[in-house]
Amino acid sequence: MEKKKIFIVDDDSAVLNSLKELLVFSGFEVGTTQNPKEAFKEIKGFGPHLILLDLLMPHVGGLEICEMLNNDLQTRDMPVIVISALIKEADIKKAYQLGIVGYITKPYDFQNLLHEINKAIASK
Amino acid sequence: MKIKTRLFFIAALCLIGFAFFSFSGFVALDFIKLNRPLYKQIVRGKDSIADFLPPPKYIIEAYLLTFQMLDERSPQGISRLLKDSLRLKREYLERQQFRLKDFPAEEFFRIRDEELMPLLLSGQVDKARQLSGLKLKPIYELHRKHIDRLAAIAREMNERAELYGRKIVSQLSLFLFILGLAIVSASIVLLFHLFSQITIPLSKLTQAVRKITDGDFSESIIMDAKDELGSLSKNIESMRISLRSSSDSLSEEIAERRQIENELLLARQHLEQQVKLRTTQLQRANEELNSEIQEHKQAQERINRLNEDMELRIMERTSELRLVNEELRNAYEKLKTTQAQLVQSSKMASLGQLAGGVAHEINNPLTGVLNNIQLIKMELAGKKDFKFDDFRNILDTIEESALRCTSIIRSLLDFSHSAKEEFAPLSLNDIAEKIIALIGHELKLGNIVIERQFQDELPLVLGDSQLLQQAVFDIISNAQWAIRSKSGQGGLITIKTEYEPQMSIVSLSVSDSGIGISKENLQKLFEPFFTTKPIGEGTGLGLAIVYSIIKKHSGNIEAASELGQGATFKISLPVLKKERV
Repeated sequence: MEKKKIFIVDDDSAVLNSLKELLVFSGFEVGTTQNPKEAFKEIKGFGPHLILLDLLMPHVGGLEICEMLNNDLQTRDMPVIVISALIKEADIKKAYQLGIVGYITKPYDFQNLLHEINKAIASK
Repeated sequence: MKIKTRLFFIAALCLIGFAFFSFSGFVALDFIKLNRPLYKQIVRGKDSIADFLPPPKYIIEAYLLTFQMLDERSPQGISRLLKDSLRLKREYLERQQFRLKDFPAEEFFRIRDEELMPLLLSGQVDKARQLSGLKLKPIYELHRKHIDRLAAIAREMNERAELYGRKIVSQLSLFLFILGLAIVSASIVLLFHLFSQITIPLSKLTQAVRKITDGDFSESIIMDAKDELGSLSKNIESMRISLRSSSDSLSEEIAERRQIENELLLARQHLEQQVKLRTTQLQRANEELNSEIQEHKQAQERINRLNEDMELRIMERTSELRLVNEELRNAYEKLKTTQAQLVQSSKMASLGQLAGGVAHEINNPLTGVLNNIQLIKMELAGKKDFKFDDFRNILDTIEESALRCTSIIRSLLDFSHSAKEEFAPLSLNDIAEKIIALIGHELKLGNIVIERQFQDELPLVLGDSQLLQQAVFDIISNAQWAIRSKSGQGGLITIKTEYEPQMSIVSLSVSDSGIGISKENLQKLFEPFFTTKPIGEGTGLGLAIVYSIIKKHSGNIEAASELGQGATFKISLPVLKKERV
């Protein structure tokens, strides 16, 4: 069976690297970037089945990346799950309006995250 | 010709004249002496007398000797007289040998020697006396007559010579007198001419100069002479011209001055009138003042009376005030406590503001830790034997993340401790670093770059770390708000520490690229409850508390800003003086 592709955008290297290892171990093909400015371009190049997106990042925030994904035909249907250490009410509302499929706060239970990932990929 | 030359010329002429005069005198004398028959005549006259005189002279002497011999009785005396007589005869003969013969004299000596002497020697004195009287006496008398005659001739010749000499001398005197007169007249004429040449122009010049002195510059005084007087007249003329021009300008000035004087006089009269008027006014005012002073004195007396009443009342009030003072002291103590509480609650507010950022800062590493633990678990589940090295990297990452959490929590705790005003030596660089550790991540998320311009080896200050952190936090947090309010694009916060040795202070300034502060608001910045933030975002106490913290540290805080141009807050604290050990 073909491996499902997941792309992670997070400016925190500790989170990014450990999560990548976990997902690879769980049988996914994983692409990552720590630089939010490059995120959109790299997502387009990688063509993932799911995007895990941090919200609070310098220069380009998660919500801005959502908007860019929505404005592009190739990426507009890619499911996005927001993973953030601090989630404000207003940000979540805005994120749902931009079409995310779910959100999860750091620190999370990996099994929960895995469950959400599988659910999102399956429902597509 | 110059006057000097002329004087020389005249002096030379005079000298030549006198020399000529002297020479003429000398020549005249010489003329009298040598070149005239007079002298010859005189000489000849003397010679002729000399020619004629000796024979009679000898005869007379011989006759006298003969007489003596006639009277002499002793033979010795006679022989002595005879000897003299013979000597006389010999002299006569010697002198007469080159001349004509004098017969009577010859006859005299012959008679005496041949006739008289034998008679005398034979003692026939009477006969001898007779012979002498007869023959010798007539010869003697003849010679006497000769002598008388010669004397008369000599006298006559002398008279003539004297006459002639006088005539010559008078002629010469006349000549010399005329010559001298001519020289003196010529000198006088020349000198008179010279004086007229000098004195007339001089008197003219004097007159002209006197005119100038009297202030009359109208007359020109150029003389057509090439001597010193000519050049003097030219100089005086140029002096006259320059004097005339300066005199003209002086006259104008004097006229102006006179006019000004007149005006001044008028002004002075006016002033005097004014002074008189004012004096009367002042006198009146003085009288009024005197009456006022009188009134004041009365009022003063009334006040004194009132004062006495007041003192009594004050004593009463003092005791009341003492009570009030006590109450005030209590109130002040309460206020101090309240202020401390205010600082603490402000800090709590800051903590609340920090909470989001700190949570984010802690949750990220925590997520990393949990992820890695999950990974180990999953890997271990599938493996039967494993080595430590398989997990070394993961464990290192876990440790690193956990340490990050610890450091953040430590900073937070450090910041949140209640301030007890424990003053200790500290570096403003450390204070700034602690606050950056707390707030840095949040700033980074807001795209705000922090630029550190820390001076190395910054001198220490004496301060309470808690309070100073609070102050720096508030200032940086205001900077962050100002940048966010300007645009969503982020910005720059520059934190600079500096030692200023001449002021002996250490300063920390925070500059931002935010919206800036208007001039009007700058003045009210540190007032309590003043805020420009929307309702709910600020209490208006932040900077007031910062101000009180800095004042507690004997420091100073200044703000500089222009609307739209960012703002700079500068805290200055006195350097901790090192005690010499």
